[in-house]
Amino acid sequence: MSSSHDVIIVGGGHNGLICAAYLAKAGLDVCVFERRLEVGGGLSTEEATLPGFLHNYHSVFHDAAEHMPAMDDLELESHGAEYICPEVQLGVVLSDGRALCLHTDRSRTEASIARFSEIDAKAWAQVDDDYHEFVETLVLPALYASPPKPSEPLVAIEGSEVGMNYLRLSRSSPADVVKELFETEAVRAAVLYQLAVPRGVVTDYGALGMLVPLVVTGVETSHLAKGGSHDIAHALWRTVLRAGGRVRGTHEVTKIVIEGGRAVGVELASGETVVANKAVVSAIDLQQTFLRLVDEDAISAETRNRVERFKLDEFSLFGVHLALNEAPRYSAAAFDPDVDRAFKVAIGFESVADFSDMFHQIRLGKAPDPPRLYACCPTLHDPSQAPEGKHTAFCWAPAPYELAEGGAEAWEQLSSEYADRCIEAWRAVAPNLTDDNILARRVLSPFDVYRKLSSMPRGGVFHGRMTFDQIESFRPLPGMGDGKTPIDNLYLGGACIHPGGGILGACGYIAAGTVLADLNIEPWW
Amino acid sequence: MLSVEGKVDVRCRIEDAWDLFCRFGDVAALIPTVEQVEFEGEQVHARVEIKLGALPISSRIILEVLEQEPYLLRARGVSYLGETLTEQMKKNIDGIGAGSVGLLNLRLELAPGDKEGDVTISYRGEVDAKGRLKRIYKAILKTKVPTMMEEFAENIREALESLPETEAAPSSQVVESQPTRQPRVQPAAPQPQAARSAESQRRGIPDPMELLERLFSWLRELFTLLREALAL
Repeated sequence: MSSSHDVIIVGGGHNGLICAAYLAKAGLDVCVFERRLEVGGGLSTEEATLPGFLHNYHSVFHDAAEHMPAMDDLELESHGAEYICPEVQLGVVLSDGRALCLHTDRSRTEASIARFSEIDAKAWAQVDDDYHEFVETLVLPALYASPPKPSEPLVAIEGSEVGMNYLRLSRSSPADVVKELFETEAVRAAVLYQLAVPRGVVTDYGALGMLVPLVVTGVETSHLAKGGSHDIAHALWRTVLRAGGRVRGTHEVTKIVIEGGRAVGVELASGETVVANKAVVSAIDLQQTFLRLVDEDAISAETRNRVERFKLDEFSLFGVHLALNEAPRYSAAAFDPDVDRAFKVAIGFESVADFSDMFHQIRLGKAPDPPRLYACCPTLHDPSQAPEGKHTAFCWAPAPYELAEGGAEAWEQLSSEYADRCIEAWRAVAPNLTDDNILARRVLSPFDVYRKLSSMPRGGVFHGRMTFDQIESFRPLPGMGDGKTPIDNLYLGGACIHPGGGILGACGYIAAGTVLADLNIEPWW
Repeated sequence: MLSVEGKVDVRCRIEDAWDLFCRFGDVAALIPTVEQVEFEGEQVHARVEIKLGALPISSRIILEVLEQEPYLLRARGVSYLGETLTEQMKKNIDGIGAGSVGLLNLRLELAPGDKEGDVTISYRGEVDAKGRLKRIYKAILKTKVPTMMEEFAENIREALESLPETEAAPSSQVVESQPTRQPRVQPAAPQPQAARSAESQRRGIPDPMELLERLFSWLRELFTLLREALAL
């Protein structure tokens, strides 16, 4: 049996759905094929422990939700999407009992930093003064535009001394920049923490220092999806349907059909062939697209070689999800009570050296010891995610996908013990996380991440390393930053293109624009 | 599309105001953030530095006059990020418009003011973003254009009200001696062709500057050809 559509989207993650919605609203007949029963990819919320306890397995911190064009363009709120922006964005708890908090209110952030260093509080304010408008006006919109040519940002900025200094910072690593800007280790750690998750930027990645102002200015704030991350997937799914598109779950695409150098359709695991009259957009990862779904002779040997050499994420996340009687209460709240209501809590990240130590161990294939944690209690901000009076919480420990001893499968043996160690590290700063308080737990290792979501190779939630040679117009490969591929009518629309991973909704948006441009259809938005 | 419009009352003679408008290069120099003005045939090329926080962002504006009749001036143009690249210099406005730019439409109109001795300047600026960097352009335009247009009107008012109250002196000389924002503009910037031709016709004499510029233009073209030939 064969059917046909104008556009076929491979993969129903949030980028695939966003791309589908924009194209369907442009009047095209669009169909999304998703391997799993549920759409949304990383927008996953499950009752994984006990009835009524909702656990966001993958994405939780949705940065820049207020800037996402899809929110307004697709009227996602009217389809059920709702975001909460916690006022205390981050609490960095220190082993000496102190805590540093970053707020959405700059003056409160400065006051918190001033308790550690007046000089750093002023430096923080200075960076915000210098870069806030720049980040808000230029950097953030650039996330939702086809990547600029490498020379374009340079020629726009290089004409002044201030611009040249910015370019100098841009060539540094984030660790170098925070060391230059701030004297306190806790302040430095707070910035680096925000870069690793949810941006995937490791502290020593060269030429990514320009991301430091992005964090300090607070233009991007972390948001929590009300009702759970999966509610955003549902809103997107409804948007696609109401725009006339179709979403077919449990339909795995096994091949992208190429004829005469053009993508003309897909084959499904069921044996069905579906014709794409105008375009196929692959919203899954780069390597599955070109190494699994496309015939070997469809691309040149050189391109294939580059695809094979595309660098995958250096780290994954080991998650421990808890059903709780009461929310974690931190000892450091005696120093700063705000830490108890922080959206994210940094545990074990007290200095630049802590990051170096952790990533060094990860690169050696070791589960970091001690585990260093991204902790969060979503129900503090959205009680609807647990039964009344109860809570859900989780911690993520950055970890390698493949363990030096035993590879990825070795997580099967290590998971339970490593989860104990994560809880132990958490309990050391939040003493009420006793066995009595923990009603149930569910562990998700890097191996589990990949088993569940095949578009996250090596359990990498960013769909490819966010290094300088793999961002902007070089992501995933030179010339493919806006989703175009060497094969006519085949586009990439997942997080492997600019601007990369995270729930930004940018990759699908950019791909939709590229498809319409090639079809000579004026974008409706 | 973002449009900004407004009116500003200026205490001056309408003829003086129109005289300024006929020197379109001088008008372009009153656009806030303009750092340098050059002329290329009928077009005005301006280098603009927009400050986003501490960072000056360099961009180019190319303007050309569409209509210049008493007392209405209409111009259109494009702006794009970065310095003028050789590749972009070769394109005309329509060519660049197909790429990644901000499109500009300016309209300035003069009318006698409500008070005797006043001139009302009505201004309207329309800007739109096109192409690959549309979203970036939109963000910049939204942030900067409204205040820029207000400042532009204020600069025009200041330039006109600073003119000495003399009827005898040719207004071009007057403005040269009262360069409100002239120091940031290349001093040798000649008037655009359209405005100068009109001036020459009014005077009924050949314009030596026009002849000189034709010669320079021819030399520039020759130089470019030679450079390209050498590059080959």
